[in-house]
Amino acid sequence: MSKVLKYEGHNYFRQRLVLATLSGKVLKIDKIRSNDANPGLRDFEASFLRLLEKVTNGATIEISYTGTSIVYKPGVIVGGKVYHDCGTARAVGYFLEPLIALGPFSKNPMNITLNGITNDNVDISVDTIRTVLLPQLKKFGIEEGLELEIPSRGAPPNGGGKVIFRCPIVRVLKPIQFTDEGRIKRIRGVAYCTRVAPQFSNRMVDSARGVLDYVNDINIAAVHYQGDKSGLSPGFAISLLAKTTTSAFYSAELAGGPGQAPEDIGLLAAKQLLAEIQKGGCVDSISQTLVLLMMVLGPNDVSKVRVGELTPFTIQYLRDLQDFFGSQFKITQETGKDQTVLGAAPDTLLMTCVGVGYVNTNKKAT
Amino acid sequence: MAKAESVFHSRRRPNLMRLIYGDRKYTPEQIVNGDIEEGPLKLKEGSDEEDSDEGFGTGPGTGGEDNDNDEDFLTLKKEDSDTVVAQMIDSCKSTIEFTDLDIWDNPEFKETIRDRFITGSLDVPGAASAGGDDE
Repeated sequence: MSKVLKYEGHNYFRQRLVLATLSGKVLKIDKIRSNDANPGLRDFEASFLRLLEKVTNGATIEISYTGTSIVYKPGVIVGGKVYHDCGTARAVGYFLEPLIALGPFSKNPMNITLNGITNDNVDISVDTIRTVLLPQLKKFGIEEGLELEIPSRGAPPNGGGKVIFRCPIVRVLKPIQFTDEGRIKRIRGVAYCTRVAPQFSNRMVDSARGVLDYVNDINIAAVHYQGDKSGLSPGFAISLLAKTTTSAFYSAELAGGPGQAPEDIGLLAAKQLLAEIQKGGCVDSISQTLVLLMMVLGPNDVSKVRVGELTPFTIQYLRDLQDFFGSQFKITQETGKDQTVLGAAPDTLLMTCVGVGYVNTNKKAT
Repeated sequence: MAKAESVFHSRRRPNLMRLIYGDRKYTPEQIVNGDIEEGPLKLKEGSDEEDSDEGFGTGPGTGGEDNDNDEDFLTLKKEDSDTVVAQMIDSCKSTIEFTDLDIWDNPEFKETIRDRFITGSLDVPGAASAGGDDE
């Protein structure tokens, strides 16, 4: 009987369930909105628990009568072909993000269809997941068959989009040494609009390009979704990505709502990208948690990565990683003074850890 | 330029490892915002200070332990942190502060990250003086 890990509060709900599933530890969360006028789990959290039940086998989830505490005994990750309706409270990214962490360690390769909102300003959009998060996994040796297909878009409030996530399985991960951030050589992006004038995409692209005049190699695709691909609500969004000579990514994204001009959205997204570039590091703030998790799950070897600034979300993730896997990162602060690398950001953090040697026993060694 | 540089360097924080892995008395938000008092927080003995980070879910061992005595029975707890917690969203996308982005309208500030691109200067800042010696 392994030790039960106890937490309080509804925050960091998904990551704790994911880490419990991967580590096989029993998780107990108390005081979930116990002082709220509407106490207990929200619908999207319950929906996430249902999704977790679909991709695993043998897990038991006990929810208290008021919904303010749960006990989760993880099972085996089985994956396979799964369909899940994400609802409209949270975007698809909320559900997809944990699945990406579980996918490589599943028994069968995941083939998951998710319905719901594809782009909003709360969760990471499917575009950023496809162009930023998934390529991060490639550095750990997860490559063949890793894809996210976006057959149709769904904007808030009604959603109606659809994505298909396919993930191969691996036996062990590779350690990474990623400390040279390189220099940005190209900027890519996707601007989409649905159920609004088709020019919206182009207007976002034009204003974003105006800010990002540092390099010539800028290619932002402007897409207009029509017919049954366009979801149930009008919407538009832009997702930007800067790639360096060493394949580090910086990303930013923004979705537009009613009454907002596409020019403003493009402009703000571009500025956000600049702010992200200024932070530096080899891993941008959105992919920090995923990369750090994969480093901890790596073989008994040293993994090293350079990051810009830690987000609050990542700091809590580091603490939770310590609770579940007992591994601690060595964090070295580097300042502009000892900088000798061409074009590196002045203040970065070097994150070093030794992997726990996680092995997916379902995958036969080849 | 001087202003831009000061913005760059104002983000330095001390002893990140100890803040994150130590006794975990600061929330992640406090660490990021540099909202950290110089000396260790004075906890009044026997007071309910410990309960103040209730709900932040800072991990086992930090939340209110089961040491509540019967004295606590039917006393009103202060919960000012609750509203902050309720607004926190479980997402790795950090909330966007649009006002912070206005600095990018300044062409001078935009130049500060020029060297992060391949179009930037080829001089390594530290090696610039060494290059001058050769001449």
